[in-house]
Amino acid sequence: MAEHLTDEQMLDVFLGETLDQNTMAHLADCAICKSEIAATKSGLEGFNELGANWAETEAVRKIRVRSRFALRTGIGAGTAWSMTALTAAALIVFVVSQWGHLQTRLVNANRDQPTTAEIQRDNQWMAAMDRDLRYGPDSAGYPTAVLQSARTSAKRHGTKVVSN
Amino acid sequence: MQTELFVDMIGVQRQEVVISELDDIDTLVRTYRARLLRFVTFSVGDADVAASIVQDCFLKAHNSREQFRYECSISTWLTTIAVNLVRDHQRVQKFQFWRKVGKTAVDVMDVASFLPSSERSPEVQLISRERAKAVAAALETLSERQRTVFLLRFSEEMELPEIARATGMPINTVRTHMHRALKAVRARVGGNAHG
Repeated sequence: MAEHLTDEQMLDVFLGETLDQNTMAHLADCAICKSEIAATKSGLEGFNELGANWAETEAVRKIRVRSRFALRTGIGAGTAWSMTALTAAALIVFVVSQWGHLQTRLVNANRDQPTTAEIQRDNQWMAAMDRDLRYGPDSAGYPTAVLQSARTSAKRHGTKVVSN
Repeated sequence: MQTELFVDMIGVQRQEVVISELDDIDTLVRTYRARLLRFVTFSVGDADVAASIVQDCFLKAHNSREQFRYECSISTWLTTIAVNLVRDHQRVQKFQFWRKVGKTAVDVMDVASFLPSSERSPEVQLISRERAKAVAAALETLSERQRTVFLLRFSEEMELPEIARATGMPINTVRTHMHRALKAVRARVGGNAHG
């Protein structure tokens, strides 16, 4: 029995190329080479069939595409969720640590805001001032009360009412 | 003269069919997705990444359909695009040591099933599955080029000149990669004790 087929001859066999007389004669006689070729071919056929069946099943499923960012960076949905959770936790810690300070600021902000009634009084006061300037004091008969109210309001806001 | 005219008409008709197929991305996806998915999955070794690459491949093909020159089949053209995308992906992946691989090629062999056949006994199917897994495992040990060349030949059934065109390698280089890849697969599957 001649030597077994070389890698190059095996390659020719698998590529389906024309084999020379010696190779064909050896293949006809050598059970070892024949069995190796058969086993490899069977492996390749199984690999292709299983791969094709799997791909056919996958191909009809709903297309699930990962974002380009995920594809390029390898950061998947799990990692993205972890990062989001971490950011949320950091935000909660920050809010809790700053809560007292924030509350003070909110109370101050609310205290500085004039109420609707105060705004209305201020408007009346401005109208009275306007009337006084145009037609003289006590022209409408009610500015004193309005002015009194306006003074109270002005006092709260730290401004002065100058009476004519 | 009439024959030439007839050949011309067939050529024009073929081009029209190809153009309409390329214009309709749904048909394109339906016809070629499974085939590309198999090739890309075994090339990159990750089924999730493969699904994204295949989508990119169709998008790229659709966007550059004007550049299709009818020198090869649509399948070969799509495979060429997929080969380039796989190469891009693997270039980026080299630097991503933290990347966790999803479903690998060997995992795919585990979950895949043979079509029901009365000709094959369960024992034969088991042996075939083991051999198929051995092929998948052998592929993971190959270099990127060896794997690509091997898959194009034995899964996509492309001829050497087509593989050379798709990969941009000379035929002799393709043959050398094929030689090494086949040797590695034979060693795993065929119990290669000689050479």
